Amino acid sequence: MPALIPQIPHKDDLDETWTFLEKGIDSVMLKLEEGVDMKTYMALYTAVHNFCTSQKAIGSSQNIKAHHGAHLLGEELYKLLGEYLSRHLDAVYQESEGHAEEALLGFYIREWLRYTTAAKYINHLFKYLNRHWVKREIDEGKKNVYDVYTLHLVKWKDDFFMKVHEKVMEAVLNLVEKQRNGETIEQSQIKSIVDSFVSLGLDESDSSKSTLEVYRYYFEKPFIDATRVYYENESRQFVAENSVVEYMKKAEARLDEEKARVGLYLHPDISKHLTDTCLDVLVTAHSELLRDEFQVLLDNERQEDLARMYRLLSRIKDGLDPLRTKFEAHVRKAGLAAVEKVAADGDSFEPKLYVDALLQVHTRYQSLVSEAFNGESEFVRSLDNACREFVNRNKICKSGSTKTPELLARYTDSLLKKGSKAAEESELEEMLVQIMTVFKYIEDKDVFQKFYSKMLAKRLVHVSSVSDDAETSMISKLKEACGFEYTNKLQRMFQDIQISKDLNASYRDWQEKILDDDDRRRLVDSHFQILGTGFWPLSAPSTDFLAPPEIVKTAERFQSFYFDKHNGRKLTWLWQLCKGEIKTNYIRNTKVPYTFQVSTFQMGILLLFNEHDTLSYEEIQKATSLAPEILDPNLSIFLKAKVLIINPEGSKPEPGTSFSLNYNFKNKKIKVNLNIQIKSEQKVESDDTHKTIEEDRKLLLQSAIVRIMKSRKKMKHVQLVQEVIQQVKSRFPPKVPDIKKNIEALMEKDYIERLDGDEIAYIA
Amino acid sequence: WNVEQALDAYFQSSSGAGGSTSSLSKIFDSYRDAPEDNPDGIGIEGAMKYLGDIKVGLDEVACLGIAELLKSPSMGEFTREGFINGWRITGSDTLDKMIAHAADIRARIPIQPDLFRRVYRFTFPLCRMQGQRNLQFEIAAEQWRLFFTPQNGGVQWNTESTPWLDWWIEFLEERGKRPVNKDLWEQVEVFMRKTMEDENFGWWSADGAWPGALDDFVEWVQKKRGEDMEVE
Repeated sequence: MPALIPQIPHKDDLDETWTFLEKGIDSVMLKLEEGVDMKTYMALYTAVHNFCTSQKAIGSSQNIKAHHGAHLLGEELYKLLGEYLSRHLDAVYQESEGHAEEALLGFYIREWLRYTTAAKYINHLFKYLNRHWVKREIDEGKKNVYDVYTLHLVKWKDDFFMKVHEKVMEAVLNLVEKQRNGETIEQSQIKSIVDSFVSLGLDESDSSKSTLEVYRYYFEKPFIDATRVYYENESRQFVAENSVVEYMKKAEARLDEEKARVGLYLHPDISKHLTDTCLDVLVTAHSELLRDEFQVLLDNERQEDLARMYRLLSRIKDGLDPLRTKFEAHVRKAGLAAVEKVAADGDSFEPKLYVDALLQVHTRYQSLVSEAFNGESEFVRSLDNACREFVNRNKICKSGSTKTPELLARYTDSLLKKGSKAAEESELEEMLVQIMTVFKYIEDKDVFQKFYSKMLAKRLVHVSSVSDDAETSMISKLKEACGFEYTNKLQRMFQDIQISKDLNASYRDWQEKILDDDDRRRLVDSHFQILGTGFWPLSAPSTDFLAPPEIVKTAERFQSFYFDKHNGRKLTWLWQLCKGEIKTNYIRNTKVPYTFQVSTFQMGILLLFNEHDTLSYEEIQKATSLAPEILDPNLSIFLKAKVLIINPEGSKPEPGTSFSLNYNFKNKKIKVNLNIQIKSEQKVESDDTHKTIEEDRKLLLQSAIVRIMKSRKKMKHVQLVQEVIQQVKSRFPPKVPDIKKNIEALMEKDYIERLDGDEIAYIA
Repeated sequence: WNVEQALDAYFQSSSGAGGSTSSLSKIFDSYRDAPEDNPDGIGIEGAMKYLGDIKVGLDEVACLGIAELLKSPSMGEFTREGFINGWRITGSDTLDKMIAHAADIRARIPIQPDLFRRVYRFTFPLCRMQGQRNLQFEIAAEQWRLFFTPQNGGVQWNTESTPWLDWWIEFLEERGKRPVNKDLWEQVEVFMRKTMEDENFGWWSADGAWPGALDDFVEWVQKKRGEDMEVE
């Protein structure tokens, strides 16, 4: 039915073509919901096509100049379409004047939807124009020519958006403020507005790409500004009326809320900017206030609030630095106070008390760091710094930082020695781990090593270790912390004991073979330990000693066995460390004879009474050859235990006195321990240890200097000092003057020399 | 030997390096103490006479300058080799030329720091007791008084504000007159120059490379200055 087919306009006639097209476009734009039938649609499409392909258009076609020989038509249509859109949008604008706030948003969104839907259809109708005329214009670099769809967006932006964006944003921001104040709002409206603003961002150089420029400028910026103002006011007011702790809760809630807002209806692009703004207003602006509260929270151990403060301040630049400083000072003070408490009762406290005090402070603040400060490495460092301070410099180490390592070593000894209270093995292991915690902070690690090895030597020699496993565990911990060199000697000591066990077994076998019956009757039950001179912190006895013949015989027999095995070795008998048991067959008033546990020196004295009932001081001294400082206290022990009786009664052991065996000796125990350490010995030992430390340090410094200079040949004095510090600081903190002194000493010994310009050179 | 020294000598001598070996040998021979026992050495008596003849006093820095030039093995001794080499470089082969050169050395020592340092450093091994590594304090102090006062051809170390030389010796006396090692000897001269540049120790730092004794001296001076201020 031809009558129903819309009349397609004459292809050369612009006016006729446009009139035809405008009617069609109008119905697409305004009455799309009524539908456009296929034929009409096809006719419109054909009209555009025909016009663009006509050879000679009437109307304004005379003005068109041919470009590059190809004559493409369409400029008139493009222009007329643009004018049509402007007219349409003007009408939309007029209507928008009647709306405000949420109604305006509804109107904007409705019109936007209608307009962009129509744009898609119209774009399709003008496909031919897009493909040819528009394409060529763009290819030739013409500005302000877009494909038809984009033309719609440009027109919307220029002719409508620019007139209403302020009012629209005002409505948006009012809505958001309502939501921030706790009201429920229609979020999808804002979402649609955001989408529209984003769509309007066109890349000037390539209209097929979009940018966020329009959105950023017209939406994001006012949104951020409003947010800033809102939270500035809110936080100012809140802080004035509430505690800092309450404020932190509020700020944290607000930050979470704003983060969620982005996901709900904003463009993700705003996320960082919005967060930064909120942090700036909610945290940075009040950071002083927060930090001032830090000390209060620390003092009251408000872990949860501290954690909240950490979370907030960790999000702003340099927010935590002042906290770290305060934290460090706080921990140090706590440590010093704890030590002070221990020191309050004088010098006679148990090492355990001291170590526990140090540990307690460390444990408390370590858990704070991990719970409240997320285990953050800088806080860990502050904690370490503080601990290092109060561990090495406190009231108890007033005389020098060597006191802590000594006490720590003594405490370790008390745990590893038999008879300690930590019976459970797992419990002991736990305590050793804690010791290592304190150990880590000790600067004078060499001092700990010295004392530890002395005490280990004693435990090994006297077989008084609580367990080999615990000893090994402790040594391997030290090795892990300080390296092989640090524990080398300790391990060798351990080995010596092991080797000695085997040696004694083969000695017994050997003895079985060579002893005759007579020997066997006089045999003294014996055990020997062979300790390498270089590894054990032991020295030869400080006194002469003539061992009793019974022992000499045994010792000689062992020696001949040993030299058979190891020709050329030298054995020194460390009598001061030897001990034994002797049975008392002379005491009549007991069925079971008493057994005395005695040192070899004591044995030397007592065995003399096998031949005599009474001996003078001089006789004893001559027979044993013991120096008075050893002899006298041992005689005193016998007197006190009433093993011997002095004459004249009540006097002190000294030349002119004499001693008799007490046949009426009585004791509750069958085994009587007379081998008690003499007080003066203990003191001398500690002093000696400190003295050897000074010597060792000098050696350590000089060998470090020589080592460095040997490899570098030449270096600046300052650098050398620095490098020496680096090398030895794992053992002890060297003082610069000490390093210089040793550099000078080596210069004098011609190991190194000074060149011009403060350079030091190695002399090969 | 020392390039610097050779250049120095070259420019000083009008004829360049040279001078007659035989005439120098003849002069050397005439001062020997015991030609039979020690044909290549001048002993203490000969040396004193010789120094007198070239108009050099025993108590002046120039005397140490001559010892350095002729590489004396010890105080008051010369060797043929050192004598001939030393004078040949300077082109002095007659007593008159030697007198002139000695006068030149005397004039240059206080004003040429390089030459001063060379002579000063040479003095350490020269004055050391045989078989000893260090210089006895008394000898060192005497030499410092010679080198660091202008009276006998040294440089002035005592200043208006600080009697450096006197204090330095007082300081060492307080510390027990310990022997002076080579490093300290040499560094004292460097230290002296530094204090003349800036008497307020602007150049000093505790971590510097100065020998410990000088570090302690700086502290001592600062304390002493503080006390003096209080007295005033």
